[in-house]
Amino acid sequence: MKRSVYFLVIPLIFISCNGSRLNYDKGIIPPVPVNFSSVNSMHDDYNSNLQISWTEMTFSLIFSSNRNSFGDNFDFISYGGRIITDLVNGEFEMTTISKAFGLLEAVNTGNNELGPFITTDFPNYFPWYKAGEDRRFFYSSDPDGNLDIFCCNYNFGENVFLADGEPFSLTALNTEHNEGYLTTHGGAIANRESVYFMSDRDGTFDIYLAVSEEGKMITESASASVIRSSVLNSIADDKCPFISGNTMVFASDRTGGLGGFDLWYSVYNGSAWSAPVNMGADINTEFDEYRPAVVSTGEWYVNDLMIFSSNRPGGKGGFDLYYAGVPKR
Amino acid sequence: MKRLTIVLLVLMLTAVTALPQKSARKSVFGVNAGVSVPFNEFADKTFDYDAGFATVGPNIEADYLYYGNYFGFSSSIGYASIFFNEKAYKSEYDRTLNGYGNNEVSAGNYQIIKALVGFTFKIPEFSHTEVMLLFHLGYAVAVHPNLLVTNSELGVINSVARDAGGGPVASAGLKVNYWLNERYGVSLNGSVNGMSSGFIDETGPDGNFQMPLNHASINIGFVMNLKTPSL
Repeated sequence: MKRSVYFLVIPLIFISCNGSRLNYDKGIIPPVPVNFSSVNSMHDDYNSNLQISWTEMTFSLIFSSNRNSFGDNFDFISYGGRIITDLVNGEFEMTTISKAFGLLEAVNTGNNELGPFITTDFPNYFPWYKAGEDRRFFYSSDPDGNLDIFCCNYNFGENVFLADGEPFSLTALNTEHNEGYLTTHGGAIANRESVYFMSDRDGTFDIYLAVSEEGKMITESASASVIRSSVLNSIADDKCPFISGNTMVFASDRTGGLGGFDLWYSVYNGSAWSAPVNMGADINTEFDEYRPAVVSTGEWYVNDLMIFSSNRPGGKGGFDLYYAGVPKR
Repeated sequence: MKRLTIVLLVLMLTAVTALPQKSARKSVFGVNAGVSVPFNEFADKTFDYDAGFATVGPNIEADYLYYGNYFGFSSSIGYASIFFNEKAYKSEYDRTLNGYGNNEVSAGNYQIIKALVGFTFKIPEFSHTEVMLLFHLGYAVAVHPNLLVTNSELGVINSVARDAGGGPVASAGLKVNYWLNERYGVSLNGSVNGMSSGFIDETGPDGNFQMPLNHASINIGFVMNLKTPSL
């Protein structure tokens, strides 16, 4: 009889193994904007720059907020965090921890600091610079009452940004009008660095192209060729350009939008920008959408990651940061 | 697998010789068909780990039993086609993508071919009826269906090519035979089958996955006594 009991037990032994079937081949960043609630406050939070390491699934977020002065002036706030993607249930999550960057202590003042843009890699059109060592932090500040573009070089220490020298003004670009939101456009012109920024030097806010002196970065150039882009601009305000790969995203309150400032994009074909296209009702609302920044996700995700700010209802108050997946272009 | 086969053969021989039964033994061949019902993760219809989105499908089996009054051994081969619940799968994409775009799911069926051997415990025949418990071990070849999910805005978001895998299978079942005469009868069978198989997923970052394919079978059929006095 005992032997029979053993016979009964044997068929019930079942070996299970790990490794579930994935329901997504690649990650999908939620195409419908998600309030980045873990970093937002009841004050205005906007103007972000997001650096992501897809191999480590970590990110560094820098944005402007007036929370520290209780609504008085804007300073840069920083967070670190981890990206969690589950290919079984499709979840995408950005977990955050507050992270103080020494770089920001060097650039924050009692004035407004806006429009952060971080460079990390020298493009191949400047072969005399060492790849991976382009460490410039561009931003805008208004010490004289109008916004000017500044730059502060930085270093990495213990995975945080540290200032490498004092911030300096980009005198080749700045005027007595407002200039800000500089973004680089790698490889557009050989032996020169081209950047885009916004300015109201001609009345309304428009997007301008600036080209450095030959063989120099824009930060090394005493002068620069500055051209207003006729394709990108409208008679309304066109602000906050941000370039990722061959795509520029920016904010504009031109006609054809859904109301207030909307987000628009334009694609560079190697020689010219396409006519701007509204990013549609998935992203834009009748409220303001502002300062978009797109991060390429490479082969990891179906879509790219865009972070922007909006004062749409449902947030924590004022402008909040949102992230959403946008089609790769 | 070789070791398992040897153990089973030894056990069978031991049982047959160690438990001599005085009554006439039966040598029975049966064919039956019915439905296979997935259970546990295999039937799960949400985006949980190991969820198979499998639903009821047809199966057919043939078995051979040799037994006395209380004990015997048996073997079976079977084929099951277990449907993939496309509607539930699409619903999960609609849910997780918050209705972004239109999702379309195209999938085939799971298929399982299994061969089993094992033991039979029964009570003596009464009113032309035999009730027996079957405990089997064996091997199954499973086919994971083609799976293609497209979103109108995002394009192809999931694809798994049809792939065959295999693995050991354990089965426990109940079989009731009702003999219409000395040679022919009808049968009712129920069994639960536990198995798991690995499959290749070339488009996934891991390249492969393991899936539990646990299912129950409920069949009806006929049996034929191959060892009647007339034979």
